[in-house]
Amino acid sequence: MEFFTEFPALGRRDLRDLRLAIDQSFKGFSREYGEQIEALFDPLLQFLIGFERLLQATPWPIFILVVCGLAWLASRSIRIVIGTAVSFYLIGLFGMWEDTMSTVSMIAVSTILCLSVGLPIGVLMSRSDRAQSIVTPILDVMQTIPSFVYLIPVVMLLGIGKVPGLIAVVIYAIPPIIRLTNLGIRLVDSEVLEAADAFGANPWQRLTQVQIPLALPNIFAGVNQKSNHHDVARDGRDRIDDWCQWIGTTGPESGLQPVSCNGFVKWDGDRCTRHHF
Amino acid sequence: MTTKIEIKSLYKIFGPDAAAMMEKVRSGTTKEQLNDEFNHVLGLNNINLEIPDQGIQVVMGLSGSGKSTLIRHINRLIEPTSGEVWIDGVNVLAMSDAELRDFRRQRASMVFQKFALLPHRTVLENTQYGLEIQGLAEKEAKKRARHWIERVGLAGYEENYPGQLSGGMQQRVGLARALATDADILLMDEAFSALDPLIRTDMQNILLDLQSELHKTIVFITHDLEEALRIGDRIAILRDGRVIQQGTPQQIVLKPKDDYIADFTKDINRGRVIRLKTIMKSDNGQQGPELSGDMLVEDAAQLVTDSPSSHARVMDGEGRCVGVVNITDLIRAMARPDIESRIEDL
Repeated sequence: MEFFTEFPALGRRDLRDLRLAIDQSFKGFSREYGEQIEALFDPLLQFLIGFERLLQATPWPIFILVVCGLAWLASRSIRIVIGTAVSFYLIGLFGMWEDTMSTVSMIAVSTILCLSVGLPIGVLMSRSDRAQSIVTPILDVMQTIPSFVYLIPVVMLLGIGKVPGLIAVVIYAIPPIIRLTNLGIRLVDSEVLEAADAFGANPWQRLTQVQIPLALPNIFAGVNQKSNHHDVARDGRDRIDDWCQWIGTTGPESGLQPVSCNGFVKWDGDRCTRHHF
Repeated sequence: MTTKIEIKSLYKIFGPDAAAMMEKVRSGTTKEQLNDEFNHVLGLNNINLEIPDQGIQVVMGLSGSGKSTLIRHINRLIEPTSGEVWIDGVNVLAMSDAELRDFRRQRASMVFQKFALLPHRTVLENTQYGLEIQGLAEKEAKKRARHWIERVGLAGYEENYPGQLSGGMQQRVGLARALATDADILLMDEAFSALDPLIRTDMQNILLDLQSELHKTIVFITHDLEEALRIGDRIAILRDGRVIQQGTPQQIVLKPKDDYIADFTKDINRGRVIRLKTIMKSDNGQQGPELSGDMLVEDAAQLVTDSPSSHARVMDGEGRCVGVVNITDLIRAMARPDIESRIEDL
């Protein structure tokens, strides 16, 4: 009867050995290759730091002007432009300009990264059913595992800092971009594609003149999802220990500040990208 | 007339093992057997068609007859299971990918039933699409596109998006896009079927107008016999993937090959299909208006009714009298063949 009530698990010693073995081998791996891997991500870090410095060095009126210009280009709506200006003004008023610049640079860099990795993968998936059947379960795993789980090995390898934060955001945010790029391209009207073929378009012309433009509303839905997920960025950016301390030592009223600042930036990105679908 | 496009023993079978099914079809398996026993669809069954240069060849059939499949073999959007397609002595099926793309860019353009315009491009940008793919410089492409937009009567709409236009206007863009590439072959897949009857007639007129000047080789797919008779120089009727009759509109109407076609043609206005030279009698010296042998019976009836004479003289191209018709001949030609039996029924 014991067989049915107790799961025949491995013995305690076996489990401990297994744990030790995994721990040891990962430690060994990170000791051996940690520096190389860090060096590999160094350009990314430099870019991120550079971009953040640039934003922080930009005089605030110019920054607001540029952001409003971008909002106008993306949405063609004067209401959204005014909303953008007001929300950034409020952020500054509450003394969170510097922090917001880090957040914005993190969002911008991670968006560029997500698009430059996600778009090609999405395109590949749309062209091959086999690629789709391989990538889909990987995306499922990426979306179901909580971010701190895959953050642990990354932090062990690279330490706590901007790059692990960035990696966490990318892993968290890239699945919707890949999925919606794939879906968007697969949903392109087959008669329009046939027309492209009938006029002698080559595969590249087909992709850039027909498939991607027509998939754009869906791709933007993915970007929108992504930028709404950027609060994960803060987990990494604010250095996890700081963050824990901050939660522990401050009351809800001071929590309201960063949260609302986050909300403003998010609202802005959301309105501007949503316009496209 | 010389032959422009020649289709020889073309077969298309849809299904996972089409090549193996080909043997069965050659040895006499019918479409139904192939469907029921082997789960393959016989799309085209031994098509042989010679399409004349600079003429309008209509392929007519009901849905499922294989007409859209057939037209897609001419520019090889669909690969045949067996058979040959020759255009100006070149085998389309032997072309490499690059040659085929070049052929589609320069030689054969297409108009689609649901327009298939790019929704994110303006009318002008849509019209220059084929030219862009040809690699033409932007300025020249724009100039040519504007010319064709004007020719199809859309001047002033260059900067509109397809979504802002009515169906008829969208198809004008489709037509302008196809004409802009200067291809000598124009493939039209049910191009006017999605339009209202009035707009459809309009578009037919535009097409006939342009054709009288451009002399392209046009393959026109339709399920509408009126349309087929109106614009076709030659008509091929397709049923269950097989050509059951081909000929001029008059031949189809006057000598339907079987009951299926006879049934189709019985409600047709024959006065708009039959021409004088088909029904004229030998010249017996009667006087009357001089009419061309290519004139339609309906138009002649109007003229003879308005003239004092009850006869008309039928002339050939050189102005010689080749025969006469009287008003009775004209009325008889327009009457339906089964009219007597209908009268008895009353």
